[in-house]
Amino acid sequence: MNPAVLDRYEPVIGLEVHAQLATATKMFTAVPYRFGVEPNTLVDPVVLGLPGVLPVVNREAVAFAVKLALAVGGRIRHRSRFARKHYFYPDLPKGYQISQYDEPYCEGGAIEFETADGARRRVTLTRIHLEEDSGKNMHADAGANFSLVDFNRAGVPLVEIVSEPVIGSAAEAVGYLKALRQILRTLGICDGNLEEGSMRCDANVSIRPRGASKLGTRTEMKNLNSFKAVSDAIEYEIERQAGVLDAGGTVVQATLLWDPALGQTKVLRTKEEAEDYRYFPEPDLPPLEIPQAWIDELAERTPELPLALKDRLVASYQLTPYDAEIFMNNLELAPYFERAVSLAGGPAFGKKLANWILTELLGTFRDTGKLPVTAEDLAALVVMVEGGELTGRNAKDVFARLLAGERDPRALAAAAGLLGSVGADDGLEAMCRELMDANPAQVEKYRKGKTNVLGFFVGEVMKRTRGKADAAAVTALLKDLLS
Amino acid sequence: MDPCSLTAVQIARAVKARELTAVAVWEAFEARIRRFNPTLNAFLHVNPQAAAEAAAIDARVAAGEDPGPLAGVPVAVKDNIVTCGMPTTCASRILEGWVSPYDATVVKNLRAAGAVIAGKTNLDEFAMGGSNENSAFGPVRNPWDPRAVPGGSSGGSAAAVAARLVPLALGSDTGGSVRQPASFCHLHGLKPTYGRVSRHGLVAFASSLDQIGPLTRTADDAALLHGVLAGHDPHDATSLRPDQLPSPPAPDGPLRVGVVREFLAEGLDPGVREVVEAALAKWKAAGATLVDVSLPSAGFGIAIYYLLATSEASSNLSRYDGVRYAFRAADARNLEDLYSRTRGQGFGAEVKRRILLGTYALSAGWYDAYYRKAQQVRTLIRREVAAAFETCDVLAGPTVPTPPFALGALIDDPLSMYLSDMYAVVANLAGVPALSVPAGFTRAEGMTADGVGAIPTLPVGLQVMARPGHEETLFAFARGQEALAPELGGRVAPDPEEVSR
Repeated sequence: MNPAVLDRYEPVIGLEVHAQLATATKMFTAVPYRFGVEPNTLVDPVVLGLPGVLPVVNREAVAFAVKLALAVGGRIRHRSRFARKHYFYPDLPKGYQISQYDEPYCEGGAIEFETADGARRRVTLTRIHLEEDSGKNMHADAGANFSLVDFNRAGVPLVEIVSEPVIGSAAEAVGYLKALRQILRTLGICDGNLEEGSMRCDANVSIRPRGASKLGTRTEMKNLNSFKAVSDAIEYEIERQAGVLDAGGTVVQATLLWDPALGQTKVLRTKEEAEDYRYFPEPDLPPLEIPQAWIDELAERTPELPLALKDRLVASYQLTPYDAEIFMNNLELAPYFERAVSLAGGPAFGKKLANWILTELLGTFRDTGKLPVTAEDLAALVVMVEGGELTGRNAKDVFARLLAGERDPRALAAAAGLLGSVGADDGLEAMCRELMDANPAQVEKYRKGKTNVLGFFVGEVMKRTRGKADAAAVTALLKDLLS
Repeated sequence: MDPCSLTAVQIARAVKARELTAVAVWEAFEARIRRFNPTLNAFLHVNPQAAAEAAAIDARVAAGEDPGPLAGVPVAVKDNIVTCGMPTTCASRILEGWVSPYDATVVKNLRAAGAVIAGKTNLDEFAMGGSNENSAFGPVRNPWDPRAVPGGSSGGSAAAVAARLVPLALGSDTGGSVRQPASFCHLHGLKPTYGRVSRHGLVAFASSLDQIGPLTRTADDAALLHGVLAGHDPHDATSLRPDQLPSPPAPDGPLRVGVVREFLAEGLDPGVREVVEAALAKWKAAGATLVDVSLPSAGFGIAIYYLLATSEASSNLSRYDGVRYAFRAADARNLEDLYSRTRGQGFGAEVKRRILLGTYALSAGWYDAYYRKAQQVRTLIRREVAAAFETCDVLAGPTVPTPPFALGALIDDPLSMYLSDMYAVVANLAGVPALSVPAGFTRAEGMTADGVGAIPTLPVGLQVMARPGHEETLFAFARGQEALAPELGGRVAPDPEEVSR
């Protein structure tokens, strides 16, 4: 992107994100949904909009939506309303979509994220509302005089998350989307797969001269089904609008379709062609009641958000921001870590436990998605090391056996005779002298300058103590005695 | 014993007592359907499985089981209520040939109660009309006088019961569509409390107003059938749960009958007024207290009804687009063309008129002036009705401002036709239960419009409304009305002339 454009113009971007809720069944009927199955197999009379059917709200979908509202700090309406949005299209079975209009279930809130340089950004939200997904038109081969429709997706619960127009760049838009996706995944309410369409994004873009307060005319871009498409499309549109303005023209309000292959937008419809959706309250559904008691109950079961977790790990356990971020990006690790800390006896063990997890377990976890060592065993192992009962070297041997599927590090160490440590008070000096007496030739070599025989003596001591001696202490002691 | 002269209560009792078989009952009614339906056009489809269903009921009785409160009773179902195994057309070309893969909840309830589904009855297309002339499959005749309309939109159901082609029928009532035909055909017709009967499987006309109700010849039959239909349904989110129903009223003192002043004002046929006032006088003589009641906003009823009902209808009927089922116009050039041809050819004139009205009322820029304003007035009516029930047990008045009119008399005058429901719509707008009971007969002056024959004497109904959930109060009133006017109970429509072929 030409940086000169940004010197003259300030982009103003708002995002509308549709996220499919991963509920067991659809928004208004008990039919499940999975991506990529045989067309028109996940349907029933309600999904197909047959005569006489009625919608019944899926309570799980509302619970998921409330969790999202809680996570972003939105204001939840105790009584909201569904509305019908009308338009004719083959993938819309009833000729209207059940959505929410002037009384959405959630207003306000914000999403916080870190930019590439580590700075924090907060994008405020206008609203979040619940609605149902449409089916999908499938166009047959070019030249065919028909199209096909797959209604599997029709009726899947969606939340639409609408940001305020406060995003200033394509990079910021992507940062916002990644943070939102991480929130959806943390809450376990959406898998956030842009390619499969479980998370979809429309971008509203306008530009205004730097310093101007009046917003420019915006365009809405659709079909942004990857982070790259979002970024490319926004940058393309900023430059296109700048070109229009630079040439003395005016931006026309329109809905545009992004073509990722061509790297261009094409006009879907202009403002004059905009449809009148004839919204009115859905008479088949009573107002959606979300009592405070239910919200409180859901709040207790809503997990911590990624960024909050990172901040807390740094503050509570003195982890480095770098380490904390690894936990933030591998969310299943954090509860394991915190459980181990608690079993070990408190935050004092945090840094040590984090080191063990990040150096010894992370690789396995990333490869297999599994944690083969229990938090109990890891905590016990670290406690033994910190208490001087097990040397770091022996701890690694024990850990290898835990990784291989054995349990109870204390029993393993005891059975192998690794428990306890041999210090100066435990006859270490006597053992060294004994060795020197038994190997006068080696002592002579050392004293003549061949200091590498020190390794021989250290090795022998470690062998005799079965690794329970502190290698550094032994080295220092031998140096002392040999000189 | 001729089963066709019996009430549903009597039939069920006789079938359970093995005095009659369900098969014999069905055969007797089926014979009448075959004879008289060609004249009346009340049935669009007769259930080919009815005899088998009746035999199954007999088998259960023989096995010592109780098939339920409607054991062996044939029940006709208005053809806007979906049924497996039979077409559901809504009397519209756009649904011609469509067969539902599921039963409406009320149909399930009927089957579970041991009823025999007789078939599907004619109606005004998508229940839009007050004469049953807006059917794509021809008008229905009034059994009391074949020159007269039976009323609508549940005209087929009303004619079928009045002509004793079935003892019971289901209608649907959005703005009088059960009660107005009941009034025109000398029947009991109930519009239950909104939410009392499941709408699951009732093809939606105006979702916030629609209710399914019984059409019967006696009060006890109405109570019996309503009891089978009513109840909470998890498939209908507007269905009332037991905890949302008010406790039944404790009877104390004489019945307080509110006489709605606005229902006896301008626009009421003098003959109808006479019948209704005479009926109320009998109630007074029998000890009831008549209370003068005013519903000041009731006069706006028809206006706001036609804003709200058409708005909801324009939305509900969007799904008939030719894409997924039933009628699809041939030779469409593109998608837009497919929609306009399918809907243009599939819907009749009245349905199109209402879709246009409703689409207009919901349009950007007009929504506040029409739909929102109408909702505000609806709230006023609701409050006025609730206030009236603070001093009365029931509100009474004529069901319809006129006696039955001649076929074709109002077909080119939709506004006059709409006014036929001016008293009835109040109950739909307020969500309260309302029952039309036979009140008498009057000279139907309008029948001379076609200049044929003498002025006939045709039925007049009395409408009573009660508090939400108080259907029992209405049935008690209906039983009282039967006791006060025993001569009315004996009057049945003459057998229609058979069409010569």
